[in-house]
Amino acid sequence: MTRCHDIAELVTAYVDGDLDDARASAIRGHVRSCSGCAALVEAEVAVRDAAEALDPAIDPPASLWDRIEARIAKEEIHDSRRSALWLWWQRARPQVFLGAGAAAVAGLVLAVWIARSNEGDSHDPTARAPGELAAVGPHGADGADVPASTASTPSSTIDEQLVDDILRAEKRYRDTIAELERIAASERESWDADLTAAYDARIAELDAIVRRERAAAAGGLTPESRDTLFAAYRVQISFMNEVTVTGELLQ
Amino acid sequence: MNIAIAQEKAPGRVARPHKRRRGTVDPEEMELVAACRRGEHRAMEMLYHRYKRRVFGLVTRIAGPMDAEEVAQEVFVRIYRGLTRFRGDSALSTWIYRLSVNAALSHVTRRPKPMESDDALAAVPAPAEPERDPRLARRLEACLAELPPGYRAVLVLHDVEGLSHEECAGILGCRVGTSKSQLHKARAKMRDLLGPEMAAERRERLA
Repeated sequence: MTRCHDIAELVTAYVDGDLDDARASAIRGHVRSCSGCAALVEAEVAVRDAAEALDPAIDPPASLWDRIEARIAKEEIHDSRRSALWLWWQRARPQVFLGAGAAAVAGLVLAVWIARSNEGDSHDPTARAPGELAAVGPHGADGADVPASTASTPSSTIDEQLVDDILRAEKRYRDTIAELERIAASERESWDADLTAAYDARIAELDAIVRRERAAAAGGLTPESRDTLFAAYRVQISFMNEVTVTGELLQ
Repeated sequence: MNIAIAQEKAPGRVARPHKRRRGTVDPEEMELVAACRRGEHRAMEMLYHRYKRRVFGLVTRIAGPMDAEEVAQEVFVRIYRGLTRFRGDSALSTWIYRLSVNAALSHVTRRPKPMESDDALAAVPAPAEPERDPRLARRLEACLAELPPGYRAVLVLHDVEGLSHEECAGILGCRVGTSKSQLHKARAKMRDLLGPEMAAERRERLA
């Protein structure tokens, strides 16, 4: 049974025609016998119609284009005085982010694969480790092992590859942060005191988070600790990138 | 470049893209974008004239008329300097709307004191085409200024601009359900602010 409470909840969807026919019919039926809900629906329609009657376009002052042109000219002149490192970073950062992201995804996929393989080992003592499987390679038609030297898999174990991938991904994050630190050092002369103080405070906070996560992962990165650490790196990179590119704190 | 400076669309209801799909990228606009990226002055001016009234309307209603010029300037600077990142995944208008709404909302959140609605009412620039009921329009603008910024943004995008909830969600960076619930709350607040006589006036107008 449709009640006043339902009308209050659904009135916007009802007047916008977003309800199915049966629900809309039930609301119309209730409104016929409830003056309070009829007034509510009428008020909703009045607000919607009045808003729709407003002209979405408003003429800006004629001087606006001149101001925009002047501001763009000023920004471009400012760009011409930027360091070569800053200009390089503008060109390279999409690739850097893409590379770091791809490395993180590759690490995650390998970690999941390893974790699942290890689970299988714990239940089946006769099963080989993933690294052994990779080293032994495919079997011949008669079931005999093909010599490892003829197999296409690399000689290093999957475990080692996983560790390598994680270390490589981490190195990319740290290299990116190091680049951004150099750019920030060259740019901070143009920052005002408030921005410099806010930047230093936030970087100290993010450094502390990274140190804590690295300390927690001292015994070796697990998929969980790796995810947390990499997330902290991404936040730090995003923040440094924002400040060095825009010269202001957007958040 | 075979782009001619086009006349801006006629103001008023005719130009309004009510429930218009914005998912497709117009090849002519991509050419315009490419010319702007090359720094061609005529193309930049053309892009400005094509979008100035919609951008200014959006930022006036979300950030308030006192700050509209400053925010609109910021929006267009971000547009020209950010065009290299526009890949054509969405319509150019959607991308520009997103920049406009983000700039207006972040301006509002940084502003130290709330906008005075009486001042705002006095400072609302006249629309290009006279409203059908100027008194009602003035009251509505004043009540809009009293809404929380998030409610104001979704009500302007959905009801004034005529965008769908999917388009609103894409511009605001939220889920479709969030856009719907925000609009529901915004309209409820507007009902309270405008009072019950609003519906009676509408009845009179329709009679």
